[in-house]
Amino acid sequence: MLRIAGALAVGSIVTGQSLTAQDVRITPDLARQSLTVNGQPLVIERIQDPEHRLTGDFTKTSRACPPFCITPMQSAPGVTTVGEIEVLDFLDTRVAAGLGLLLDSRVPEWFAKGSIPGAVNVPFTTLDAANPYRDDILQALGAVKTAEEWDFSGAQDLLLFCNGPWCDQAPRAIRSLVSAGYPVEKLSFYRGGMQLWLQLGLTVAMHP
Amino acid sequence: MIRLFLLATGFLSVTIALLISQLGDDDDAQIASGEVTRADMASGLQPGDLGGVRQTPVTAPAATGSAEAPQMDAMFRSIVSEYRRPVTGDRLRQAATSTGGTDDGMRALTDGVLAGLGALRPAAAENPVTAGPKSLNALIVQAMREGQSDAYVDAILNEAVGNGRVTAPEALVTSSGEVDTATLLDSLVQRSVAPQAAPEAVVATRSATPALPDIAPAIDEVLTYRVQPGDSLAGIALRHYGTTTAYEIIYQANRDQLPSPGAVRPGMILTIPDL
Repeated sequence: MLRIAGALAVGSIVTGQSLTAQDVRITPDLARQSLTVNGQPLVIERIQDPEHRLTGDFTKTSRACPPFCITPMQSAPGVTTVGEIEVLDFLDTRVAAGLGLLLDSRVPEWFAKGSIPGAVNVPFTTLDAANPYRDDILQALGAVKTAEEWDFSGAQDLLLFCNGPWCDQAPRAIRSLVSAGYPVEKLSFYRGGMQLWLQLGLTVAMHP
Repeated sequence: MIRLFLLATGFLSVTIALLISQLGDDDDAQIASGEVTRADMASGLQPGDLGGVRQTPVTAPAATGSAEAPQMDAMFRSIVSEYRRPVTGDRLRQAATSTGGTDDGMRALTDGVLAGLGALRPAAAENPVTAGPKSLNALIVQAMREGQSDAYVDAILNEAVGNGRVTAPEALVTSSGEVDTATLLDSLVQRSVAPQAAPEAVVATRSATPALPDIAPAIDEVLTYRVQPGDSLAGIALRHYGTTTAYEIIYQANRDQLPSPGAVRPGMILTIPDL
């Protein structure tokens, strides 16, 4: 009898713990986003401490402009600008399925110090036409070169971001891709970037 | 028996409830402490903040020493140690990348991207340095433009000097031909200091930081530095204090021979205040 009660108790503890309430959810229906990218399990959720505040660089209000100017909502004609929920959805439906890539357009140092989980670092300079090796990247993104013409029909869907509304690196990368012929319907832009991602207490991945 | 069972169940459920709430608290606490770390990480991302990075005086300023070779060696090491300082490195790198990248830099950066995309070409597996520039300056510039980490720059320099592909001292002192490191630093420093308005404004900000020379504790020996061709005050400040804005400290300590910060001439013996 006691043994059964004990088993019951253990069972309830385990269930109880896994049911610990997530008070700071992403949406009413979504406490956390779990997915697998390249065999790596990822969990994106929000910081659960309601008193948490940002400290450090992302609390700055007045960076010098130029170069840190406020970017327009639209990065290039035809390229969709998205928010956090769409980023999560993109990770879930495109990246996890191998159909899309989330690109961090910042320089490697910034990427190392924290990025959106599942993102790949493609610094904006590498997509510039001035990079003589850009074709290699376009190929890695799924474009195929056929006699001086690029065929982007099999290319990945790309969602680009950088440090946020005061960062022009992702928009520059997008404009470079568009001028290279990348189809605008395969591109989207997360304007909030790391600034809003951190502001919302969403999970950050370090790449030391 | 039933009563006993009910009693036991009641006791158990209370215990379970307590346990669950306890575990819940624990969980929250863990998350909270986890995010403190992350907040700390975030506060580390401050390329603009030059305060508090300075370490105790670099041993390298022995550049005032006697023999030529060890002196250059020390200078080289001090420069390497500068690049190890993250904040300064970031700042210089920012200036360096804004001047545009070299082909070799782009090759390495592109290979980094390709590796990230899981499509690294076999050729890229070879050390990018092997095909890279042969002078120390070019190595530094390349690494900076690539946006490489300070550890990488340090490693690459040591490796290149170690296997004799470049000779550090010559590359550093020769002001003929290519840009030497000092002038490179100078130009980068000018660039990074330029948008900060007048030097007076810089002084104002600097004075907010603690441990400026006025406190000058009893110093056993005064550290001096002999100005080399191509040196700038900001470059010397960077070398000794790890920040270009500290040139003001050196300037103030050498007012007797410096009418202006730009009046630095090769051969001058500058006092480097111990902070």
